[in-house]
Amino acid sequence: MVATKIKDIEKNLLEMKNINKKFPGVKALENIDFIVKKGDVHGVVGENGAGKSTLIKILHGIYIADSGEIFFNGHLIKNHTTSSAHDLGIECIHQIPRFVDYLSVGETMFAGVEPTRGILKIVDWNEVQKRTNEIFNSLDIDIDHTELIRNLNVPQRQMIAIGRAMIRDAKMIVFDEPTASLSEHEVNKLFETIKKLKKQGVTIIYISHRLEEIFEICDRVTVFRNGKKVSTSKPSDISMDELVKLMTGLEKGKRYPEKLKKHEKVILSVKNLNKGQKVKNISFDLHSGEILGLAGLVGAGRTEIARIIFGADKRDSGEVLLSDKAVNFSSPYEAIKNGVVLVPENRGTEGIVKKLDVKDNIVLPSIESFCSANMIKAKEIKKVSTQMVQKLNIKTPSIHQRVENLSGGNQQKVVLAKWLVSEGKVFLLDEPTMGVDVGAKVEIFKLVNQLAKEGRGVILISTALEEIAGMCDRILIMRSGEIVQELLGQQTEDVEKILTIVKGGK
Amino acid sequence: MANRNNSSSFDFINYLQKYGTLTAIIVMAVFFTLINPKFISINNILNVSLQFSFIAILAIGILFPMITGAFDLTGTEMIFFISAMGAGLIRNEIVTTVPGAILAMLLIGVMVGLVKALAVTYLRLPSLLATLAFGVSLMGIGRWYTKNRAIYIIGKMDSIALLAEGKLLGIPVPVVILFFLIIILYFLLYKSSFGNRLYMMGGTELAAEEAGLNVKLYQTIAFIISGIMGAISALIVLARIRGANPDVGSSFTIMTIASVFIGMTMFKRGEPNLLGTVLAVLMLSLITNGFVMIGLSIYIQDLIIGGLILATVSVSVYLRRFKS
Amino acid sequence: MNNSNLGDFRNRILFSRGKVTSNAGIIVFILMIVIFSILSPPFLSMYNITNVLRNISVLAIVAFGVTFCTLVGEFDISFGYVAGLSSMFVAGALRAGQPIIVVLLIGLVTGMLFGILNGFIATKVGLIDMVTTLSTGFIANGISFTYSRGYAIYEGITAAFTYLGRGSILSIPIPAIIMLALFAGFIIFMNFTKMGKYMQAVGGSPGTAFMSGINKVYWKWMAYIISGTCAGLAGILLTATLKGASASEGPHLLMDGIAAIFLGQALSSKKAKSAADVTMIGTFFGVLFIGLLDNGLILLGFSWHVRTFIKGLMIILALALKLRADDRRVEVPVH
Repeated sequence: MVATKIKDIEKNLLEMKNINKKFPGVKALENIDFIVKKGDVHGVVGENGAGKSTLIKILHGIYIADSGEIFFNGHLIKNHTTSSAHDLGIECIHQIPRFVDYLSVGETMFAGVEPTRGILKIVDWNEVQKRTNEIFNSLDIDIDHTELIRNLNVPQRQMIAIGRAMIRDAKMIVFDEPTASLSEHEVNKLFETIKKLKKQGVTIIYISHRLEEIFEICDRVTVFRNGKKVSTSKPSDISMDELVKLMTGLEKGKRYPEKLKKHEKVILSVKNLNKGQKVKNISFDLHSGEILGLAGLVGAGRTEIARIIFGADKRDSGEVLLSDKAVNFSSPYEAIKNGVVLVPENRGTEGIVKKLDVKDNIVLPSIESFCSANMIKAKEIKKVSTQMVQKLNIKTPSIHQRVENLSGGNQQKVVLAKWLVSEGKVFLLDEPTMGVDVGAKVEIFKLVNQLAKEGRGVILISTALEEIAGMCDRILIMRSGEIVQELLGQQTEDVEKILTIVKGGK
Repeated sequence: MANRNNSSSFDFINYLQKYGTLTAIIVMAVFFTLINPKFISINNILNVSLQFSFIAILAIGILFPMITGAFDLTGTEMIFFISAMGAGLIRNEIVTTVPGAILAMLLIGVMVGLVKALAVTYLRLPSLLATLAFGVSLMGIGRWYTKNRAIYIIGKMDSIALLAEGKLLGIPVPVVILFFLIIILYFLLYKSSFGNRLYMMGGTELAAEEAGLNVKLYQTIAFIISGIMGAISALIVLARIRGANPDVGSSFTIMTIASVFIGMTMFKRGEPNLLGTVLAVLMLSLITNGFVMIGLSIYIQDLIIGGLILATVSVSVYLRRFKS
Repeated sequence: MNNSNLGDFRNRILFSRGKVTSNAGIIVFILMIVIFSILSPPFLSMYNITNVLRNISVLAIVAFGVTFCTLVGEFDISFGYVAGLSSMFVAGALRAGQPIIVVLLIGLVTGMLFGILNGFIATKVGLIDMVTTLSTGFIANGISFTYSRGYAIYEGITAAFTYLGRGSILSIPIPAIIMLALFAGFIIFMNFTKMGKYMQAVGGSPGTAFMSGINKVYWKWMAYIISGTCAGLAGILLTATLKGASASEGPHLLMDGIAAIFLGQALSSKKAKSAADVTMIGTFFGVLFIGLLDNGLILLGFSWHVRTFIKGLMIILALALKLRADDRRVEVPVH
């Protein structure tokens, strides 16, 4: 009798069949069939509003699907709740894991599942130490179990979250945009950890906007668009361009407006800017009519530069010049007065005032010019804000609508409107299309192009290399606080090249 | 505290954080004694220790809801209400034995805790207001019942006075009770899994939920504990004054809250903790007593407490900033 | 008023569909008035209503100040104690024979100083509003008690000063006039001036305010100063209406003030996103409600303790119903 090695048949760990979910006014998921094979690292991509997060929430038992079935390990799941999700071994790692600051690693990881002795439920801290070390060793994590959460940074907290998932015997771990706040080095470390998890038999779902990561680590990738599943394929069978096409439904030519070729004089200059380790001897010029891109990974120092120029953060040394005059703004107020404006990465906390309505948000920085003797001139505000709403095609029932009720894309348009009203001449855009759906994205790109056409200077910061390539006339690539290369003309269209340089190549 | 840590480099900031308050207490005690030697007379020490016990028991009770992030402003009010109810039961001879009285009042304490849990945990009312309002209501009911006077149980159950005036090996019974409570609660909070999970509630609810914990259950238990502590304190007061008096201890409530806050600043972690709270009560009791002993007005109490909260919390905020 | 102002007005002051209060609010209010007027006819008399207006003025002024402070996202719990202290100093100054101008100044300055202190600690030291104002309130209370040694001050209240509290112009009590003027002033300030907008921004989203060039520190501090000064003003009127001052008034004011503010929020129709989402007109309504409630119960002969108990109960009930109604857990997709 021939001894046969029984190979694990490629089984489906998760099967979500025919899932439908509707919210008031919106069909979030339509007839979704989602299958994840055991042992895979399965990537999930899609633009904002495509339905990915809704599906994952259903998987976690946070939402209940209107119809459809979920099979886990071949068994049909009935009455799915968050605790049954935990019981099945489904765990989730968020971008920024939520912990209690003053507890230690050991206490946090074992909260709820503490190893105890006797009826009095005395916690066996020795056991905690032992098991923590076991897990951490197997994943090559170097954190002491008595360390306080407060002293840990984001990637370390993610490690703790992973450790906790493993302690709960996770069969499937969902990573939800884990790399948004990680530096390049930290991302590599995370990937190594994911590979180790895979070796230990854990199935992984990896949600990300960073397409290059999907190509690096995923065995399969599923694309969602407008509430439907568009495709599932192997990254090796598909190109990035094709992936983007599946996600947006648009041909490459249609996604971005045509670039301008003519540039004029220098409108903004940065000379020898320094701030600690984040910004190292940065110098560059911005011309009016130009869209200058700052590409790089998170932590490369781009946001820091923008904030320094805007006066929101202090610099250690160096100068900022506006039309050859040294300005060195010490507060956003000064910057705005001089026409330098910033569209921040954190739209919700720094871009809009959620409680206020559209018109108030639009006129907020420039409200002085709409007042006589401290009293607001409502008619004028109404006129200007209505104009803006029309011009930028902001979808809102009225200018009196609270901004928090608008979609991400429309909120971003409000932010842009705000700076138009304040007569911004230099626009610093930090991840302007984050959290924005496809349709609004295209409109925003057109807008940005228009800004440049009208003679303003635009700096575009984005980690979506595709965007940088599609929009920018000139690109500065940054790494670890320094500018490593400048790309002009034809070079700016080459996404692969940009990616290589960003990651450290030439 | 159980198995937690850690580095041992000596620096001033560290020292201040850990032992600042202890040092302050010792310095103050010396100061007061120098000005008025009666400060360390047996009589005074007994006085202080008695008051210290009531408040400390209350404070470690409300520590538990505070750990879960809920204020509990029902200190004095619990004492009055529960002692009034207890006095009523004793006067009308519904309970005739000391164990019976103890049990009855503990039960009332549990019920008080449950109502608080209902308001804050289940109805999700903001804890500051809900417990404040509830406390006021308790006082109101109590005063209505006693017709706004003090009521007494003299002659009905005199042996209960032992709880307040008796001595065990020369130490007043209330202090002994406090001591045992501290041991039990210390164990509960720092050695058992219950304590670990309770602390997990100290952050956002999301953190606890992500750990899969039943927030409602634990917060309810926390409130019940505060109710029980309130009942124990009420028992001691009842025994001491042989009845219930609405005018007893109006500033106890704020002292308990202040103590929890000040206690938080005493240890490196910055979390609400048992030892810190007890030490803070000690400090506050010493200060208020000391100021009276050296001739300052008793009304200065509130001033001191307010100023102290500000001072200690500000200092700890600065220290933390300085460190990072 | 042109259209845009009207829309603004509706949004911020009158809430949805032009209603000031929720349906439940109106019903409860009317019910209460009806029940009281049946049980004690003098309830609806001109004399009584005027009395009520006079009595709620102090509470209203202090509550308005606190509500204003919430505009920048800070809750000032020291108001009761500061008003009590101001009232105490005013009485003391009168007793010492100071001219009325000085007396008024003392009252206002006391409040303002505490506002400055609160503002300083909140912005420069960075403590949370609850902790800060609770502590400073306590200090104020302590000073008040120490200064009066527990006694009430009744001597030396001049006739001129009493007129401030007891007099009327066109049969509207003076304190009520001040209250209404303040109310109007606040509404205008909050909604029709640029300072009001700045404060709304600071309270709504401090980060955005900063990134839009608004000086957070300045406006937060300002809000505390205004709230404190209101407490000072309330203290002056307190002494005027009571013809004296006692240190226990402060805590009473605190209890009633909190009740008024949150009852007002509970009975209004505006959806409360959190327990701190209060509005000026809601507060006014709450003050009115508490005032009428208290008055009615007094007419029926209930003692202070019972009244306090009922007030406490009402806060809990109102909050519970309100938060219940607003807390519909709708799953909303985040786009």
